[in-house]
Amino acid sequence: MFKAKIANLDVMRFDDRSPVSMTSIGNSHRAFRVNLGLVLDPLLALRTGATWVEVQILRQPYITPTVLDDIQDRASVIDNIKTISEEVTQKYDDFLKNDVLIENVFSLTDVLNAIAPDLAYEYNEGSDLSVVAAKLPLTPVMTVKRKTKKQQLLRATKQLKSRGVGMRFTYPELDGLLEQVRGRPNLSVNTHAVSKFSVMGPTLGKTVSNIMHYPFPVSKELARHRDRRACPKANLDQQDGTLFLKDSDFHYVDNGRIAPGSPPGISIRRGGEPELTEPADVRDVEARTASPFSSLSTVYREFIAYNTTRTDEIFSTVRKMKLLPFSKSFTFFTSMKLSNSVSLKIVVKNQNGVVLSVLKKDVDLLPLLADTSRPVRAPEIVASIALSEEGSRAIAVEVTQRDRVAHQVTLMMKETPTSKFRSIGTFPLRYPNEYHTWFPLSILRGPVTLRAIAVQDDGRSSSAFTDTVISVKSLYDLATADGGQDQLASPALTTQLNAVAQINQTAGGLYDVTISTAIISDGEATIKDAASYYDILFLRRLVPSAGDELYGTVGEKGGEYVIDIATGITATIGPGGVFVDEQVAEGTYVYVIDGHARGEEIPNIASVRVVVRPQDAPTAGGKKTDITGIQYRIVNQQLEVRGGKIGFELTVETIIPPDMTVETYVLDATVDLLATDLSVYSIRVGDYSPTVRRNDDGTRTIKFQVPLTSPDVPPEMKTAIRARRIRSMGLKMPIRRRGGGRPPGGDPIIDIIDSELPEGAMGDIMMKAGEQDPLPEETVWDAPPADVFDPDRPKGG
Amino acid sequence: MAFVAADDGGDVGGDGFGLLDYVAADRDRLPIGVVDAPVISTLQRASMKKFTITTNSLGEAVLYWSVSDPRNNVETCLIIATLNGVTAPLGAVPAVHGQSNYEFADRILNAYVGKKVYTIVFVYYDGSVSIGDKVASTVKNSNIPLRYLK
Repeated sequence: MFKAKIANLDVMRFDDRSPVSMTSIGNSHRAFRVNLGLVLDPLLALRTGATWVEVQILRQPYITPTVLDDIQDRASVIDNIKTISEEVTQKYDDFLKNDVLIENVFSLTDVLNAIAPDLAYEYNEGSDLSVVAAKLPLTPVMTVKRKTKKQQLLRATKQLKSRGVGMRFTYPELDGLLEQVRGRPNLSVNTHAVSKFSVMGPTLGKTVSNIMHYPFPVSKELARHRDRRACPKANLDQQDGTLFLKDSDFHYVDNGRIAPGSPPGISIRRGGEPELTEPADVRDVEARTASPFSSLSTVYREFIAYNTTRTDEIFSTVRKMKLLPFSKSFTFFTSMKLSNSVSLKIVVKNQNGVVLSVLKKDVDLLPLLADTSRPVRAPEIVASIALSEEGSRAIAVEVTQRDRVAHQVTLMMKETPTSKFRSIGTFPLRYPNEYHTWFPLSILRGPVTLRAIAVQDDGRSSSAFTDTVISVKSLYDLATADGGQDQLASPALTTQLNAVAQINQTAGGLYDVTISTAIISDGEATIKDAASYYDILFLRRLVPSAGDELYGTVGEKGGEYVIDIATGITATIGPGGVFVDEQVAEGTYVYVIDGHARGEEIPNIASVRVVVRPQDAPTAGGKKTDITGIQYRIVNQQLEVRGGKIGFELTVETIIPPDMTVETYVLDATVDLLATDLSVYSIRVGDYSPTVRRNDDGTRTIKFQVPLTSPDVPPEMKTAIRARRIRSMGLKMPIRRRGGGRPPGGDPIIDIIDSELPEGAMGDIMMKAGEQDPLPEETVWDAPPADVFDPDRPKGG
Repeated sequence: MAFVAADDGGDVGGDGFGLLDYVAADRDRLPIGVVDAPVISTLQRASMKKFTITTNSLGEAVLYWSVSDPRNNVETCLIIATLNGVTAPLGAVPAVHGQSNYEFADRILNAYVGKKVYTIVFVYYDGSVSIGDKVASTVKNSNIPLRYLK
């Protein structure tokens, strides 16, 4: 047999970013999963006809037996050769039996079909190499000027400092948790904000711990020092967008082929060969980072998110790949005891078995196993309120293991924002399995935080965890069919209780604060109303400036109970009743209502903030109207359709009574779209998580987004938008009578004068080709200010 | 939610009601019922018994710290790092009752040259926080891409 071997070609290399990782499956240390990070030169592979790749993982390198000596004559040579052959065969058989942990062969064609199918197709069709080369994959990259000098960076830093601007974050949650120290271009943790958010976050469905998982704002100045070898588990890292590509992965871009002023993209050159073109402003740029799978450019966007002065240094373009990183995973079992080190051997051959390339690498195994067995991916949690088999309320939880090396998941629950986590248990769960469980719930409402931790060993923790907040506010599906005590009193009521404050000045400079409770009707069928559920209500008075808290303990940080002056004991009422806190001094208070049901205390079922001061007390003569509400005037409004959502942005001037906030009021506001055929489409603002931002000029901007798939967006409304038949947009804010009644006229909602949209405001609607949704891809309207009729508005104000 | 004259302090719900509306110092932007003063806690503070750094086979800095928290008041440990003058959180490790030793592998800054200073911030179950009294640092003076070592 004739064996041929050509010079070692660089068809394939270990990917130095992530050459190898190995994890143990289970605790037996008998089963392992190895992941190889490799880089393929596709054109060279095609030119040389590389077809097969053999992978061996060896306990130790194979050493060919030494040549025998004592050769004296021709016969002894023949004997020697025979002996060598036998020994080599025997030794190699022994080696295979004792030292080869895994042998695996895979096809390069399959790899190419997976990572560059167009390229593989052209090659299989027998196309010219130039045509094949034109099919090299293109990857979107964020690029940065190569000649960005240190002085430029320093200048940008100085500008940032002189402006004293705050950072703009792509994660709005970070705004406030991190703060820029004035005078230094640094970020620092705002522990004050973190404290508040850890309490308030769960109410909003957010937790501090989850917010903290985001890219560290690494300065671009450091990018050139970055270690290209990011981390192991190449395939996961690439999918996660955490593995960087590098310049050598891309074809060099010739400056002479740059088309000045043209947008980046692909153009067809002479001979029909497509080629990359770039705009002039990316001349002399250096591809820094990209992801072949998703978008590593997001990493860059994160970088510049922390410093908007750098945005002009970043360009988005596409690059033609020169090398293709890919990963290959194998699972193997062995009864052999592993040594501390293993050898990797990868042989690339062509169709005829000719060896084209040989790669070898020794891997220090045990430390690698320990370091790659740390969970890195957090589990997923889906939770819902359900009825247990015993008929009690429960949380049903579905946990999905997302980490490949973690064996278990620890589940914990925190029932109120200021209670401790209690452990539900630790249960075995391997990737990608799910685990279903339920456990009883002792609270009626409020945010419940579930925490799932991917763990490798019992009793341990890891950074791969997720906190999920669920809101226990409506008790769907919990009604008992047979009635009795738990029977629904009214299907239109919930256990929610509203609290309203009214302040009256009394003799001696003190005030009476009347807290009215009202049962909220939300029109949803739920099991119980507050009146049927709560046996009795207590009222606590907190002093925020003293550090009192909604869930605090009375006498410590929970304020004090309101005392009935007449009896001298703690005041109690039933749902729907009225508390009167008498002889209250001026100040800011928060009144908290605690409910009691079947002997169980349910703290903070409602609360109201009250500022007690003279101007808030209506005079006996009734100079002030009994209608109250936020006075507002729209100064700007905008409707934007983008990304499958309708974005509303309204800027209003407001006059806000002391006991109200725009944030609260806007929840009950509606936005009406008036079509040219006088059809009105209403959107309830509170259903779409509005945000309210106070602007520097004192106005407030209310923003919210409505998905096009929302049931509030009927087809007629979509059609009206598409046909440019929306005539105006208006905001309605609620008003009410002081003390809880409806205003005269019966309608608690006042109408505002709709603002006319400018003629042709819909003229720039663009449709995305092939898009099925009838709505335009991107639509922006600006509407002129609208005035508001407000009965409580001061004359001339 | 039905019409209300004042917020009931809970169940605002939804993802989009931005944190920025709640953590800002401007009290007008705080919902009713939210105390706009610092969270003052009477909980017993946790203390760090040790805080060390080693480097694993992947070149990552692995932080080890030990916490003395007999009442299990700590809920989450936030890992804060400073690199090149920028201080920001890297991640978090949840506290587990009965466990006093924790570890965190820094995959994020592993790729960068420079001095990295790490601090642990303890978040307590009542929302208060405290900063660990120990810091640990590691320096990566250079990096040689692995291909040069082959």
